[in-house]
Amino acid sequence: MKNSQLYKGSLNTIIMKLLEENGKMYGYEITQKVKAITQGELNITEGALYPALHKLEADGFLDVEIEKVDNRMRKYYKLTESGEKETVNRLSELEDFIRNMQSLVNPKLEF
Amino acid sequence: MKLTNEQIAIIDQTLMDKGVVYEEIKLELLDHIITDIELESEESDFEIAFSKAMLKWKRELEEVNPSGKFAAPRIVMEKFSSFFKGQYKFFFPAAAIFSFLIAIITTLYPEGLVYNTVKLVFYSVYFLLSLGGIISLFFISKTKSKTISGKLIQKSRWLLVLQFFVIYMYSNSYSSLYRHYNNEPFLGKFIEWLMPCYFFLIACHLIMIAVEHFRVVKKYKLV
Repeated sequence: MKNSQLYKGSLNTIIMKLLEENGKMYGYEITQKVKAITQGELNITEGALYPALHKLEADGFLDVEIEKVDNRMRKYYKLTESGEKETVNRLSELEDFIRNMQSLVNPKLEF
Repeated sequence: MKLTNEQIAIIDQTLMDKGVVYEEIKLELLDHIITDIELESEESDFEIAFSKAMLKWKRELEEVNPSGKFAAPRIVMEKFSSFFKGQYKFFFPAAAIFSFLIAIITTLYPEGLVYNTVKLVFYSVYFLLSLGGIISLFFISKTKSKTISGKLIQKSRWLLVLQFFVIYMYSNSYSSLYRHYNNEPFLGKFIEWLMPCYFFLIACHLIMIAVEHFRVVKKYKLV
């Protein structure tokens, strides 16, 4: 991950936001979605993604569904009720963080 | 490239050889690697594509042994550690509160009937939890598929057996006899219940881990 320290603390929020928007997703799909949205700027490694998913599941924010796909089983992740509430909280925190950082460093952002 | 069943079996066996034997982890690693090869790889040769895909997992499949007692791939060890998110550091305070409550009840209501009822209920529930743990261990050992929680229960078998010793020792101790217990000061009563309450909470935790194993077996449709 480019500038990994900047993204590290936001990984869980990124995962939860994607699941909120897409319902259920599997691990590989999450990495590809992030890559597509950021046009290759952010590559979530397998070593970062799966421990984050397992931790969110252990914390009760994610639930899993197993489905047969082609000649194998696939594990989909989706938000639980408490996960949906937590997503709202984390997005709010992230918005505050971005706003404060903008005030502090005042980067010239172009979208 | 679309992988054949034989090629998938090779990936599956490679993961097993590297210690990823627990179904809830192996399932998603297998799917990720297969999808990576099928969608991303520009190689037409399976062996080369597989080697490249596995390079991305090098760190996660590296064997680690943080406690010095049990080695497993890093991704497996991280999942193991999720079962011990600091619960054990709360057991002692929780046991202290539990013990305090029992000591309060038996002090406020010092009749023999109350004490003997509390003792009977406590050790009966404790016994049933411990029995449940042993029965779970039996069925977990019979399960063909391995899970992280199942492995934890198997590694805790000495603790499961110890529970019966704890039950016998504390329920039949000299100081647990009513005529002696009732003469003890409050602190003595609190201490009398502290260790049984601590082991009782451990028995509860082990049952929860066993339940998790059966939940995973059902959810993942394992055998």
